[in-house]
Amino acid sequence: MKFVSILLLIIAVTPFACNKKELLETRPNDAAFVPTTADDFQGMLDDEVLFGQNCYLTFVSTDEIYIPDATLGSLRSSTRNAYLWNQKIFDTVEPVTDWDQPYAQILSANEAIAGVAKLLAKEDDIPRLNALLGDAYFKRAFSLYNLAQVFAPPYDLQTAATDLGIPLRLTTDKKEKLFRATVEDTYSQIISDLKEATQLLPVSVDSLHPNRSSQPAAWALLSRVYLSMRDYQQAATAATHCLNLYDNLIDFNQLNSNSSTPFNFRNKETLYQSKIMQGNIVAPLFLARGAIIEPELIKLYQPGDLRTAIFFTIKSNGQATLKGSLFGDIYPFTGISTAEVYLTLAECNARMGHTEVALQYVNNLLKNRWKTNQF
Amino acid sequence: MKKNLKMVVPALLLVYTHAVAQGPQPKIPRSYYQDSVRKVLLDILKYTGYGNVIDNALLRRTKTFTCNRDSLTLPELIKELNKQVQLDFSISDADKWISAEPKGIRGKVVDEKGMPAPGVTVQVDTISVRTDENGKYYIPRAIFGSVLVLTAVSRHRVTIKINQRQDMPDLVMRVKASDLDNVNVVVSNGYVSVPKDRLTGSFNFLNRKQIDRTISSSILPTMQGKVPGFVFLENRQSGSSQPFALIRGISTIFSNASPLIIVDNFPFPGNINDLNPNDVESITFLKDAAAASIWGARTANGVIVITTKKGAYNKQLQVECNTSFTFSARPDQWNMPQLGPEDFLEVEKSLYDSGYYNVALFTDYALVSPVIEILHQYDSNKISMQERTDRLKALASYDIRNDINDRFYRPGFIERYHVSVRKGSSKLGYYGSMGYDREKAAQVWTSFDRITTNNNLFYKGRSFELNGTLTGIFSRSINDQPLPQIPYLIGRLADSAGRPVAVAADVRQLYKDQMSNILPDWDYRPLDELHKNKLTQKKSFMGGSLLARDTVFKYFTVSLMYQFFKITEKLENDQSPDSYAARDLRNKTAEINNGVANFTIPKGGIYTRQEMCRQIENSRLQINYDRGDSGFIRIAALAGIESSKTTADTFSLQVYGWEKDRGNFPQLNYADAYPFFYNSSLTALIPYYIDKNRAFDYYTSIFGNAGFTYRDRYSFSVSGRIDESNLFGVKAKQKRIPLASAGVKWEILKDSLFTMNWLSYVNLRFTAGTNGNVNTSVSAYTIAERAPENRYGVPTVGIINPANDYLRWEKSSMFNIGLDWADKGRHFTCSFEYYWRRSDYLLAPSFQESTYGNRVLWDNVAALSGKGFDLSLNTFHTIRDIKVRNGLFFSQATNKVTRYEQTLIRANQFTDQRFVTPRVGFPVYNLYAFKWGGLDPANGDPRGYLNGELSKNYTAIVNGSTDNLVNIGSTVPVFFGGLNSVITYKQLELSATFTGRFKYYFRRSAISYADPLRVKLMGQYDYSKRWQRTGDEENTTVPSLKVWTEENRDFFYANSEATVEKADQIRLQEVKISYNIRKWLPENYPVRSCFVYIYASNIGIIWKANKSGIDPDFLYRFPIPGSCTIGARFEL
Repeated sequence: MKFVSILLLIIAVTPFACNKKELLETRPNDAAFVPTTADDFQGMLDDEVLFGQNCYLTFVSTDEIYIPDATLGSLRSSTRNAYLWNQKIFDTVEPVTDWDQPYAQILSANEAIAGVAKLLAKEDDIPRLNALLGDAYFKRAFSLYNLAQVFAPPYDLQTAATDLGIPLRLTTDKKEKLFRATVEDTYSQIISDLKEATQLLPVSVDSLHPNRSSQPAAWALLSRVYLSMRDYQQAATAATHCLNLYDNLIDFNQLNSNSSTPFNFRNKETLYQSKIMQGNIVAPLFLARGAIIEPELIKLYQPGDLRTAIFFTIKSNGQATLKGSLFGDIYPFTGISTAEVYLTLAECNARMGHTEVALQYVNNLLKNRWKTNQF
Repeated sequence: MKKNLKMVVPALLLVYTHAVAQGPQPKIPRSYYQDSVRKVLLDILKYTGYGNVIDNALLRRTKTFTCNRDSLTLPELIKELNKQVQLDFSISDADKWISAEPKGIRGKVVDEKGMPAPGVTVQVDTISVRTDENGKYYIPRAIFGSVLVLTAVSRHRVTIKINQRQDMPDLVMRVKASDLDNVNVVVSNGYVSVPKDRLTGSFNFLNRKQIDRTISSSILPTMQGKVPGFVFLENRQSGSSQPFALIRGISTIFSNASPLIIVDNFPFPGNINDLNPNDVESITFLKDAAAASIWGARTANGVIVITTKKGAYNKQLQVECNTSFTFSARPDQWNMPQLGPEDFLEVEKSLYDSGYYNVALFTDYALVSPVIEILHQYDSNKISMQERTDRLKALASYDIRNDINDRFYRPGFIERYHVSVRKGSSKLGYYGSMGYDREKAAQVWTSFDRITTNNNLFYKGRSFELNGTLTGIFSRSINDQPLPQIPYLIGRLADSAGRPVAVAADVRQLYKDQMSNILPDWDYRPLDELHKNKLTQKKSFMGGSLLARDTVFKYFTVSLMYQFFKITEKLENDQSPDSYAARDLRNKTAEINNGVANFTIPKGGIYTRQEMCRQIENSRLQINYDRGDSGFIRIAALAGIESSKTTADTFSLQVYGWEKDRGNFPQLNYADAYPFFYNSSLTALIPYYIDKNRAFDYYTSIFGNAGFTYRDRYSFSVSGRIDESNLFGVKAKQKRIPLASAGVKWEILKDSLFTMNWLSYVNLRFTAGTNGNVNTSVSAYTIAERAPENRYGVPTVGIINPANDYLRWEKSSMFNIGLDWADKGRHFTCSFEYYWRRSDYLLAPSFQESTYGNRVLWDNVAALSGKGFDLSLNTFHTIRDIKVRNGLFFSQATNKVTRYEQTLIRANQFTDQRFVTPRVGFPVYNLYAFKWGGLDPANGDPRGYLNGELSKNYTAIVNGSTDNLVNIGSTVPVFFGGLNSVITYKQLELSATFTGRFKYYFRRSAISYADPLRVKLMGQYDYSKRWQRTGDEENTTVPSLKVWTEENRDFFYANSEATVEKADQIRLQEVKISYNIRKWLPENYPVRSCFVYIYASNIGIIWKANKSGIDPDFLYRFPIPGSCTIGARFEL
């Protein structure tokens, strides 16, 4: 019987010893699953509802639009305050969408960064994983940049090291201690994420999936960041990198200016798709066409400029409203287009005193914006 | 003594030795008749010369000796002596010497059923032994005439004089009647069985007899009102997260609060209601941390350990048959507060007059009641005033509940059959049973069948033991006719000729009638739905277990257990093309052009199927150490590892147009929604989905438990367990959380310091420990789900719950202090326990600071504290032939949230009882109400308080802060108890169970004027009590009828103090009368006993605190009608 017992013991211990580790790591459920594969993270980064909508308060507070009092009354308090440039923006208890959404994006980006990094250690489809990792860095940088535009003071070389920027959440650990980083640290993080992205992302623009970034997109965003920091030299360099890789522009003559949505969401000018926050918060402005384009701005467009008809609907009372954007619907575009890069280069060159070069870029752009025979 | 004598007399003896001549065997030429042994010995000396120095004390106790044959040789005579005298004589030829020793005695102790009684102390003079597991004992030297004393806990002491016979008869030790229900209490915690008197923790036990006093198809009702600290919660709102039963109140907020149920060593993987109670031998309740912590992470709510019947050793074939028939009344349709036809007519009239239905009537198709139809016809001058009055009167005379009662309900009937066989030798044992239950439900065309079988076979060798079990449960429930879905109680289901009548559904009946020449049959006739909707549910539960046990070394026993179960559940709903659901879908999505209908959906039925298959594998390796009694100390310990693996596959499918014969279904456009022809803003999809899912749980655990008893009076116990699971993880520290407990017990009376003659025992117990609780719906890992494709056609993935490396089990600590005592005669056995509980790391939605990126994270953020007591008092009295036993239990269980950051702030977020909304300082399940300011004497509007002032600004009150709420109290009983009475008179036994629940509240449903077609819902009964004129506010709280009412007027009233009721109640749960008719049967019938019984359950409320006539147990459904059972149980 002792023999039997010992045999039993051996049989008994075997299942405990064998695949215990593997079993303990098995996902508990199928429908809700633990993302582990490249496809899972691709799907996470492809969530355009999350990543494709960004800060809107910056747009509301520009002087490009004019909001009549009636519409203004129907707006959310913070939107109204932002439009009116009131001292206190968030004076009631309401979700701060411009803050919440980018941080939700950062969470997904961080999950992807952590997950893909793990995969890189064992998988062999390195180009794809690199593209995913690059895209995640790009998206995190984009979110941080958008946050900084709304919630941090503008970058000032003199005070950046002491000005308070935004909290930088760079891991998925919920116990990570967060504090407001300085403006300097905020921007260095954005720049370092983007530089990382330019190393990893594919060279070519994915014209089928403009919600995925590419090297040109990363350079373009980097130039936007440098421009906002008033570092024109770096901005110009980054923009040049971008245009060297990808410089396509849409010839507006090819567009149907009578269409209510002249742009397709897949177009050759878009480097990265994004629009402002959609939904009830801005519905009175765009869905109900309550945001009137500043007449002074409209006046700047000369006859022969196709942009008037393609960007705007002119109401019977002469007021202009936004028709739509490169995003392909009625909401303003907040993504990155080559047109922006042309203008960045023009501005930087102008500021650095290279007027000729600047004009050259402006003209390259305008060639595609004016009626062919009139420019 | 003997030796001393030997030394003293040798010289004298020598004389005789030499006097006897050598030669053939000398004979003793004498016969004896009732002569003393001393005389025989003297004769021996005289005739043979064989001397002796046998102690007189020994000889004096011997009986007389009789021997008719004379001239026996010495050996012959000694042999005869040995036969008759309680001494062992031996001859030493060398010394010519006879010596004698007291004989050892052997015997067996049995209980009144003839079953061996192990562990009984057998004492003769200074020698004391214990009976072995077969009830046998051996006392090496027992002097004839000495007194043998048998003692055992909970058995009557037996004393018997040892007579001359070598073997004692089987001694019967009767169980002390006061302990009859707790006899032989060998408590099983699922790992080991331990006599109750050695336990420190809080245990309760139900034996077969107690279980038998309830006749039920499932095991849970048999526990009701019989266990202190255990309460059933009947009154569960559907969709509510309240548990089905509680042991000692609540230890968690959002996780499963129901107790863990163990059946034979492992958690029961199926639905416990499927287990046949006839196969259950005993139930143990583990209530405190010390008792339950061996089960580790899932035991904060207590554990119920069910032990099924097993084969027995040394048992003659025993066959037991149990048959019962239960008759139950129809559910009382009028018991739920609903608006009757006349009141309904009145409400509809006033609504109509106020123009409430103008919009609906304008659309043609919007559903209105027949009352409105008549009123409208009169107003459109289609009928005369006379006709209007007549038709309304006729309509009001039809209460649809009459038809529902007649056509959809019947008295219920359940038959139950159960046969079991038990047999065993000293090596093999077998138990097998077969049960068949069939229920003809109170709802017509509804039935339920169940077959259960349970088989146990074991082999036991010298040290090796093998035990195998096979279990099968197969059940099927069928419903061929769904209950009618009618929004009001007015009207009929069949006309006077019995033909089915159409009732309103989805679309106005008049409109359906108008379309009848274009569209095929669109009427909803509930009686015509028969056989067109077949709902079948099949369940099978199959599995077995194998246990091998071997005593490897001296005190060590190794056992290996393996259990495998497969559970499949299949649910099928076959709605034929002629069913209303299918016809309605097809008709409303038709396109109608110029009076011709063009169907966008082809004719077809709707077929739904859900399949669930679960496979559970449990294995355990365990080592037990038991040194038994070694003087003062007894140590028993066990340790082991176990693993549990559950794979659950679900598959569900719904298809439209399934062709049963061919098995295929058409490829249709399932993606697009089809608009309804009468209202294009409404659309429907063609029913279609296929869903497949697999869930996987894996646990491994290490556990250990040790008990230590010193001098039978001080017991100590420790227990611990470490669990590991795939649900938790990442951080190793969180992955393995040890849960441990310890306890002490002091049997005070056994200490010589205390002598209280009137008490038979006083025990003081103290335990402390921690348990856990698991919530399988959360995960430490990032959990994502497949989201719809983005606009570039790429599938996306959304994060549901971000990774939470810190996630861990919920932890619950409990301190328990208990005092047990009984009087000398054990007429009163009492136990009082007080406990404190603190639950921490409770999972709850935690609102994260928004830079986290996800506002809500399920995290270990809440804490709870609770305390309470369990008092139990058992009495036993005999008055001549009448034996009266009572068990009275009374408990308190309170709980209070001590930590939770509640982010809900609006008052109306706390009034919906379907959701758990914990607040610090309040119980988990708590009722809040808007402060009630009475009715406005001017117009009967309900009034509340806003900022401390009377107000009718309902929206402000309802959406305002929680300051507008009044705390009412717990919705689960704070005090509860039960009373079990058993009266036995000869062969007759009468038993009854009462339950009481106190200090809790419920909210009765209230009238809702704003939603009159919901009148079918309850609460409308108070319509007749509504405020009608000034002065009524003195007598009623029901607001006046107001049709165009402010948005929250109804809501405010429904959730105000005015609709709160006390739920306190005392209920007669069951009564059983049983009689053993064995003696009526001829003596030679092979029947050992034959009990016939009559049993009644759900008899009703004896007392309730609320004056509204509402049964607090059945707020959301019809009360379970009373039922009566007759049955017989006989043993062959």
